Amino acid sequence: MNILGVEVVKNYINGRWVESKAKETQDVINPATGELLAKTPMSTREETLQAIEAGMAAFARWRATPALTRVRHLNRIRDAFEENFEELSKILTMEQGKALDESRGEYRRTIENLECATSVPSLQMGYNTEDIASGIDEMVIKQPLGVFFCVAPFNFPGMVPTWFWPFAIGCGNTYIVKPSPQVPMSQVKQFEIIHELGLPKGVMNMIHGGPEAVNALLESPDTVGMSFVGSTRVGKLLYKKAGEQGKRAQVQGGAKNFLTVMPDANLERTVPALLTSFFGCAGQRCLSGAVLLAVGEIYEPLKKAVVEGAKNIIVGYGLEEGVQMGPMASKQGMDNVLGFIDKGIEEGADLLLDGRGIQIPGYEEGFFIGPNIFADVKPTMTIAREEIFGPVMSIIPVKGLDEAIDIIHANRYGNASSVFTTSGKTARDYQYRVKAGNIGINIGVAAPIATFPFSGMKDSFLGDLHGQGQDAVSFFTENKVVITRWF
Amino acid sequence: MELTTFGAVVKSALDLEAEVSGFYESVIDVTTDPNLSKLFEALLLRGQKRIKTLLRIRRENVTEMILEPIAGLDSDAYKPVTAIPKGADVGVVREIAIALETRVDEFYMHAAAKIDFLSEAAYALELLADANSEAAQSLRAAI
Repeated sequence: MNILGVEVVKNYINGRWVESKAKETQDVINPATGELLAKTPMSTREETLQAIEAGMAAFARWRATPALTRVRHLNRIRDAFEENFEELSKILTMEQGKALDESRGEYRRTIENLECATSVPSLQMGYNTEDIASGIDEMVIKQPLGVFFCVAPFNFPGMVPTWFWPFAIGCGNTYIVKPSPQVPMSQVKQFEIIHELGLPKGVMNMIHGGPEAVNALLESPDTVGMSFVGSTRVGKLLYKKAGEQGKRAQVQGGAKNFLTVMPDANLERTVPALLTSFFGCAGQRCLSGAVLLAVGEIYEPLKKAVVEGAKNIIVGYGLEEGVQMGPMASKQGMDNVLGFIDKGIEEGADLLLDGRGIQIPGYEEGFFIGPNIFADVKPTMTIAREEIFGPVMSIIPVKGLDEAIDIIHANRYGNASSVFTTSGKTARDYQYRVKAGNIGINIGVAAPIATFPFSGMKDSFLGDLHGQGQDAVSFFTENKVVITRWF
Repeated sequence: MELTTFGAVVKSALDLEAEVSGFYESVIDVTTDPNLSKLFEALLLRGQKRIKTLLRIRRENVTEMILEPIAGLDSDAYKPVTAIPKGADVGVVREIAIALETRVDEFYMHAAAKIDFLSEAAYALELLADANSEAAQSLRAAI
């Protein structure tokens, strides 16, 4: 369907592209150019139920498909994503804004999830013991459960769904992806590729939309579990509802990540890692650095070095090679960040580097903010406590490691934290003590690869099992215990 | 042009390889020396494989969490000279080819040093540089 020459993206249900009957749509905007790219339909409850029905109908046959056959489909999808790598990366940059290398990096991790999920035939193996009593054997079988779904975020539109669905369908479940309405085109392209590869109908489905679709997915007795990535506020609402509906849930929420730099850190190698962490993807990562804890005498030289480095970051349209930082993904996101910067100034922090008002010639309609650095930040300030989700570094001077860890623990979030040091003892202390799910030692973005769980603690994660790796296999299967005796 | 990202480095490498391949394609039939002609043909085929290698490096080695900005690498400093003066003999053509290989070798070595945060990609560029160095030696020995 076209509205004023702009396509309304379609749903993908039971192996077919289906125009939504929704009356309401949301605009998909290129955040660098302001261009209207497409429209996302706010699918209805009825349409969502059709997708669930398709998943249910496909489940019995799919779960009976041998595991190696199931993962051969994943291999084909993986190969097809490799062949279409550049096009997928460019679409992602156009709708989300991140620099092209960042989109490529996202797709590398996307493909890695597919590769890891091809291990499902081994990962899904159960275990057994003979003669638990004389002549009686006992075993555990890891069984798939039915229709799962994910509610995906706007910041990694290509990758995040693959934290979940390759493992889910590899294990024999069927799946529904609900992309962010802000950035649906990456998933549309992925499903176009998948559509050509012969995956049985109903195994993979996609529904676009907002609260109505999500509520339908949660309330249906025919869905088994939900994976959500987004804000903690929404995540908590959905987690509660999932619990009330008796569904499994994994909720990856917000973050406020503290990066600690010790006096013995290798400054020359640390500063580039910090710049990538704080300003990569324009700070719109749940693993982005948010607060820099500068310990002792490192404060002054570190402050100087990060400001010098950040001044040189090239901001622009992500499709242009050489651009290191793209725009904010939306006007709302941009206004939100600008509000926090105003707050930081109001509360008395020292704005050493002001990225507001940056003009990118030729892209005057874009949602650009350059890198921002605050110094002399106090832990009680708003910019030190609340998630900004933008290119803002807040530097807090601290006396020692203990003070740093106290500040980290006072925050409600626990997604990631890193320490930069040359001391093994300090590193060990940090990883042992800090309550954050993803710890980096001399790593600015502690992103787990596909074979590991994407961890998170406190208000950054709700649930027991994370996306990716063995956790994903456990989330998408149930341990069925079988005790046998033969007469 | 300042090359400031890993992607920009690879794009520059792809452009360089395309120009080098174009040069060898233009001189294969010009030279009468059979050894040199064979070498030019091999170097043309090498170019086609290299483009695939560079595309693969760009896909497989872009590790998002450790992408760092790059500074101090300017593609203009490695612009290849591929123009052949009118009436040039095979010796001149060979010298242009040697200079081309040397320049590309330098580019890959300097680029590898700049992207050392992506060690596999850096190593791949070093291997390409080694091959350029060997090609220059083969060209010197060809006549």
